[in-house]
Amino acid sequence: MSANGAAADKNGQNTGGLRVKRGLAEMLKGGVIMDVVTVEQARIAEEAGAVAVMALERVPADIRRDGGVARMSAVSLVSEIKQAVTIPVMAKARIGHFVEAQVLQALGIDYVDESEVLTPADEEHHIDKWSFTIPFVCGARDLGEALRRIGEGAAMIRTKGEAGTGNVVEAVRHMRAVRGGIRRIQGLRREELMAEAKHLQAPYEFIVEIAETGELPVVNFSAGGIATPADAALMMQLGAEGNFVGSGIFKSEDPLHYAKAIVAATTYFDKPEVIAEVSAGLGPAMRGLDIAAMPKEEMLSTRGW
Amino acid sequence: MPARPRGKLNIIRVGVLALQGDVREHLAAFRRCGAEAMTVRSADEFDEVDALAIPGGESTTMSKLLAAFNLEKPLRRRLDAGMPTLTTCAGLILLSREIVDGRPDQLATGTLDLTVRRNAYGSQVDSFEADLVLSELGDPPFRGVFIRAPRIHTWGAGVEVLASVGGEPVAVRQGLHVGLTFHPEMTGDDRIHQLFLEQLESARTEDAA
Repeated sequence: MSANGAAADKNGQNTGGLRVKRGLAEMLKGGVIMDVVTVEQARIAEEAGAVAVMALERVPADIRRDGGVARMSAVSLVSEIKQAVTIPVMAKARIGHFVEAQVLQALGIDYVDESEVLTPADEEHHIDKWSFTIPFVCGARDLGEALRRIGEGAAMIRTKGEAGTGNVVEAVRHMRAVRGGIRRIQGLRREELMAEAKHLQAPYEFIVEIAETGELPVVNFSAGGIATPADAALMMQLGAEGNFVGSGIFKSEDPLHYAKAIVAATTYFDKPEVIAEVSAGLGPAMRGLDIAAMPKEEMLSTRGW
Repeated sequence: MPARPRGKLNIIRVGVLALQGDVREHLAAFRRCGAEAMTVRSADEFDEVDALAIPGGESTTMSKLLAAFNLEKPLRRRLDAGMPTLTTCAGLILLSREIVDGRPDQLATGTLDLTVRRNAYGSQVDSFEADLVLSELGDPPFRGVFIRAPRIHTWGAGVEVLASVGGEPVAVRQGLHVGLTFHPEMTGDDRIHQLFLEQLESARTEDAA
């Protein structure tokens, strides 16, 4: 057993193995994971049918507005939220900050998000996620970045999008990059796979696996800028297996109603009549930002290596 | 009710409740076993299937969506008419008689005479794998994958225990219903899906005789 408790044995049973880590993400498929900053919001998320909540101190839109260093959520907040809901609880650690991740594991939550939305603690290295019992989800902008994270032990990938903007354009770009990268590999000949691994800066074994299966080795959700039911369904039609929704819900005017509509649109993503029905009478979405007009240094999605 | 559109004669058509969860894995497992498999997300689709699988996922989410889209009634109607089910984890919770540590508004159809406790082994760090002995499957043991799994606390006289962990049932059968607290669909070992389909076949043969 390692310092972080991976692959512990108790009574001949295995905990923390790859299958149970990736497996929880499989169980979240087709669902919505909602950012919450208070116990009350966590209860609303559960009431609306979220498959999990992400406990954090400020939603990305507020991190963007307030500036300063964004760190792991306060331990007491995470614990209170865990007490308040019966669905899985996730929380964010800074990129490379393996001690924040150790603390979150010790709190007994269900998933750690090593997230670019927080201020990175290491500008070269991500966390060695293999050494943990708790599973990790990591952000990615393209297939190479996704596979580097999976190589470090991530059990779930979310395409990054641009968090806190209410603008889906980056989420679309990143999902197309990942799915397109997979389709490209499927068209390659066997002897071309090593050059593709070099090009993507990704482990060769995963390139071979994708060539054979046509699938990412782990579940792939979308994130970053999803603000309406139609946005959620768009990401599903582009190949997302579920959605993370951050500022979009609790920055809208009627969060419970809004959250329910996004959950329904994620399940019935290919039924426009249902999306129309749940979108009726929703009130305004969060205002949103024009990413093209945003200074490069304000982009969160470029964090991660 | 319109006659159910039939596929090839004698082929069993299994629906997988597709509101949320690991739907694709169940579809794939049934297809590998030679059954027809389709997703079920609307009232009409409940009538198009011979049997229903309810996958792993978040039981509260599925329960909310069943209510929001008026699917509880068609589901109950088919269950009352004896539609066989294969349920894993969240699915088992939805069909149980009583849920401990659930939400008060959560659906429990009472199809399976069980009391279950949600997330009863702890949080995700306590999720585990274990070898299970199911006498009907023979060797090798079945690798059980338990993810934030429920525990079966009490079970009625009509419930047959197929496998246990630590003295508690993890696989049960009640008539043509098979309920599991673990995830066979995640292992690529299709013996339980096969067993479920064989039961349906023999029930059908008996009906015909």
